[in-house]
Amino acid sequence: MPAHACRISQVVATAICNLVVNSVDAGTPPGSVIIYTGTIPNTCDMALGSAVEVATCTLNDTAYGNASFGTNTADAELTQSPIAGAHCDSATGNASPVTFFRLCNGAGTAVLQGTCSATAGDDLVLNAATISTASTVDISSLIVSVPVNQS
Amino acid sequence: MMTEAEQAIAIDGIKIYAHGVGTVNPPKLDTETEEEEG
Repeated sequence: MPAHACRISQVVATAICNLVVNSVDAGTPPGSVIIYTGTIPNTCDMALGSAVEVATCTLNDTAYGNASFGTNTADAELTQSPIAGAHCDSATGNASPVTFFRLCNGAGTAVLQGTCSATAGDDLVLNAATISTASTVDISSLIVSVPVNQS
Repeated sequence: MMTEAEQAIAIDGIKIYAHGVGTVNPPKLDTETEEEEG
């Protein structure tokens, strides 16, 4: 037997998934997906440091639907991801490539962060490595998933 | 000392993944304004 073989139930995985995305609607929604350039902080609670905002994409007032397993028995995933996506009419822009994003509630408090670039394999993949000033940015998909396999 | 049941739930952290895609579109040229000025 492997040293780590922790599993959680589907009910618990679903509840965790919903807790994460419902946190985006806390405070005064709508929340946002904020894209940055610079060094990604080690944790979601850390200050941005020298990182700079490049684009702020606004979410729907209710950001996400309810998590579900559906036919996927490995992960609890958001069936809608997120509702109406997230949109930025006019990006701040920056000549340096984007590096990470934060999913924030209406007060600007980060709920989740991840890598962002134009490279497949990052958490949020754009069609361009850089975002110029006044560009529009559409986040069409940002799925949050919690696997039952925790090992 | 932890019991076997306690050890079973002593996980390091819950795994959560996020993955998504987005599209960046260049700024729109304000051609209508240029035509009006011309």
